[in-house]
Formats: sequence, C-alpha cells, structure tokens
Amino acid sequence: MGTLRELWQYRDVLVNFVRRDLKLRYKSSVLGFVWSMLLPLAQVVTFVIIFKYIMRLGEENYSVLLMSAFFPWMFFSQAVLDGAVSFAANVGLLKRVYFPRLILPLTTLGSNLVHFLFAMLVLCIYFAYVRVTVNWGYLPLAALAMVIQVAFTFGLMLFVGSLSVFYSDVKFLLTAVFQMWMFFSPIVYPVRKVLETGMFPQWVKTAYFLNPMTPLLMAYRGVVPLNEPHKLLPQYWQFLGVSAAVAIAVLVIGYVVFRRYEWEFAVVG
Amino acid sequence: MAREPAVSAENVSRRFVVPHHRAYTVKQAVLGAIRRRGRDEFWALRDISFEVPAGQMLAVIGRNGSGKSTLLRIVGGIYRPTSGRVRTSGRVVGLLELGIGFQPDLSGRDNIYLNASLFGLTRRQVSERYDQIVEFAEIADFVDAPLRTYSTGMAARLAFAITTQIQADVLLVDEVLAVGDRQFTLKCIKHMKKLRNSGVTIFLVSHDLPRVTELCSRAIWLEQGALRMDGPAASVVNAYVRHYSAPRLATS
Repeated sequence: MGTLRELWQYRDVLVNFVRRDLKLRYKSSVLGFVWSMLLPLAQVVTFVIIFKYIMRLGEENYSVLLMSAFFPWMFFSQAVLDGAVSFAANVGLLKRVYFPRLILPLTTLGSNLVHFLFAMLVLCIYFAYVRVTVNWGYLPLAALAMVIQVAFTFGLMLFVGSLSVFYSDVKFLLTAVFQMWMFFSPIVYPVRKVLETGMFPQWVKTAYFLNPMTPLLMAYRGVVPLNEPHKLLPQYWQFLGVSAAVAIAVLVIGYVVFRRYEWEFAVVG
Repeated sequence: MAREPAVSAENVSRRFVVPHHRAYTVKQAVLGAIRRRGRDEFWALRDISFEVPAGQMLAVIGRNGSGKSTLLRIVGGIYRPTSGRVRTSGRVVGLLELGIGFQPDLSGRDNIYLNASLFGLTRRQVSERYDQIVEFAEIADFVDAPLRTYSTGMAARLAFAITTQIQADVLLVDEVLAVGDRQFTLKCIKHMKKLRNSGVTIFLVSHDLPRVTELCSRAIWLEQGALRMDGPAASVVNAYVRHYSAPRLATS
C-alpha cells in the first residue's frame, strides 16, 4: 500500500521520464516515429516475401496475420530488452537522487506501451487498406491477452533488470534467447502448421503451447477470420489459463527479486 | 515542549562488501562459485547517533573517505543503514549534484521539468515557477534549444536556478559549493542563508572550513566512519584544524 502511495507521489517523475524516452526515440518529430517503424516494417516486408511468395505458405491474409502477432511481440521483446538495462544504465541517477526504484522499469514499460499503441494505429490503417473483415467479437479476448502480456513483461523486466545490475552479460544472453523464442512462437507462420506437422511428437506440441506467449499471440490473431483460437485448438482455454498463471508467477518472482536487491543497485554500480 | 527533531539517527552503521574479484558476468559468477574467493568488508559508518532540530544548519566535516557522503545518502534514502535507523520528518531533498538527469538532446524547457521533478516538484509547481527559473538562469532566448548547445556556464546556471525553487523541509547539500566560479559560489551561499533563515533544516558537507563556521551553528566531525566530535561549529572546526596541523611526533 505504502509503495503505491509513494509511486503516486512520484508520478510526475514517471511522466517526465516516459516523455523523455519518447522524445529521444522520435527526436521530437512525426517523421521520427515513421523512422522508428522502419526496422519492424522492413522485417514485415521480408517475412511476407519469404513466406508468402518463396515458401508459399498458402495462407490467406498472411501479412495481416503476421503483423497482428509481430507488433505485440516487438513490444514484448523490446520492453524486456530495454528493461534489462533500466537499472544498470541509471546507476548514476540512483546514486544521486532518491525516487522509488520501480519508476525506472515502469518508465520502460510505459514508453514501449505508448510506442506499441502508435504502431497499432499503423496496423489499423493497414487493416482498413487491405479491407480485411475483422472479428470484432474477439477484441475483448485480445485485450485480456494484452493484460496478461503486460504482467508477464513487467515481471520479466524486474527479474532481468535486477540481475543485470550485477552481471553485465544478461542482456547479451537475452538477445539470443529472444531471437529463438520469436521463431518458436506463432508469428511468422500460422499455428495450423504446427498442429498439422507430423515431424513433432505430441509432447513437443504440448510444450509449444505451454510457451506463455503462444496463447496470447493466438488471441491477437483471433480478430482475423479463420484464426479463432479455440477453433484451431480445442484445449485453447486451458493453455490460456496456464499462460495467465505463468505471467502472475513471473510477476511475483520478479517483484520479490527486485525487492530483495533494490537497495544494492546504488551501491554496486 | 520540545519539537520533533527534523532528523534523528540512532546507532547508524553501514557496511560495504568489497569482493576481491567481483563477478561481472554470469560466466564469472558460475566459475567464481566453483573457486570460492574471499571478500573484504569495511564499515563506512559505525554507530552514529545524533538529532537535528528543525531549522538547524549542520555541517558534516571530515577527511575524504570518512563517511560523510554515505551519511548524507542514508539520510536522503539512497542507501539503507546496515543497522540502526534514521528518522526524518517532512520532505527530505538531497542536493548531491547539480543537473541530475539532464539530457543533452532535450530542450532547456524539458530539462527543467525533468530535473525539477526529481527534486520532488510537481508539474504544476514547475509551471508556476518556470518563468522565475528561466529568468534566474538568464537563458530566456535558449529555452527551446537542446541542452547540448548550451555553454557549460549556462547549463550550470540553469541547474542552480532549478535548485533555488526546491521545496524542502530538510535539504542535504554535498560539495555543490565547490563547483563554479567565485560569483556562482557566492550566489549559492546567499541562497542557502535565505533557506536557513526561512527555517529549512540543512545538512552541509563541505571542506571549506571558514565557510562552515560562517554558515552553520553546529558541526559534526566524522573520522573513519565514527562520530569524533559534535558541537558548535566554531569549536568543532578548531579542534579539527588543530588535530590535522599538529605535528605527529608520537608515531615516528
């Protein structure tokens, strides 16, 4: 309780930090935002060329399917990778002034969330442009999945952020992990392909859906016709439940680890 | 009736652990766990107790490494004491450095809001004091230019102008006086006197002993983390000077 009241007292620091991050990211211009979308859009175009035209996945609405999972994934991975240095990169500040340490990961989460919302705007425009029919009924599920994703993201940020104050190679390890994680999640290919493949035994498929990000990304894709998650996978709700449980567990563990070490951040650096 | 002290420290000690070889990476940590290594610890503060009544201006003196900055950080909430406790009443603001959080790529205006919020001012309070800050810093023509285009002097003036608007009950000042030219130092001192006279409790860490005697009513002298002397500023400074200028015949 006291923690929340203190955070409220320091809300202006949080707001100013988020504004600072966004201004530095966009260099205070609209063109800056376009610029910041350049890399993800280049990746989208590359995936579309490879999987739609070269590999011939034969998936309807491939680009829409790709983007509706890829943008939330970018938000997830960027927030966690930025979060890994949210304390380590600010040790100088932590040594010189007191403010609740939670402000730093909250800043990273906040600025990445705002950036994600801008990116979603781009996605909506694209949806309208290609005239895809939207399953509006699945928006509440997508919103629920986003809440779970944010909890999971913040828990991971607290955990890796606390560790990387002490160990400088955490971020390096994370980059490799996220690279693999992305391809083991349903982003560049449809879930159907994983279900249909005869190459994997059943337990590997189960493990695939136990990845907490899989049910979440499936939920976002649910707004695209023929991708309703529970029609693709009968046990979808159970896997979504597992994902939510993992997210909460990670949030609790991350918070406990952060609490355990937060007073060392200003000392170690 | 005695008023509640602004700051009270009860048996405050602080230990720092210095590993012989700190593991900077996960790899080193794993290897280090296999070949166990020793670590040193040292006590930056040992069993410090004092009470500061509201409105007092107190100097903390001592040689480098005597624990002055650690003490200020503990009172300011940046470090926690290893044992003992510090109690403060009212808003405590640490002024350990000027221009905290300054971003070279942001405008002067953005930096004012950013820096002031770190000193506990709300957006509204900054907006109300904004014109005063800009005027005091003499940067009116440059507020929308990025801070990196400012001269060192301009940036320092801006940083100081923001600190003059801090609202604090307890202010912790560390060596800020040492930076800048003479005129700047005099400005700082004038401002501190103003704060002192308006009833703000001030901790001043300084090596400028004549200044300490001039500004502060009380001084505490730290030596190797222990409280060596606590009393009226003039007598503590005198004892301190005598101690370090006396020939050390006994040791030779």
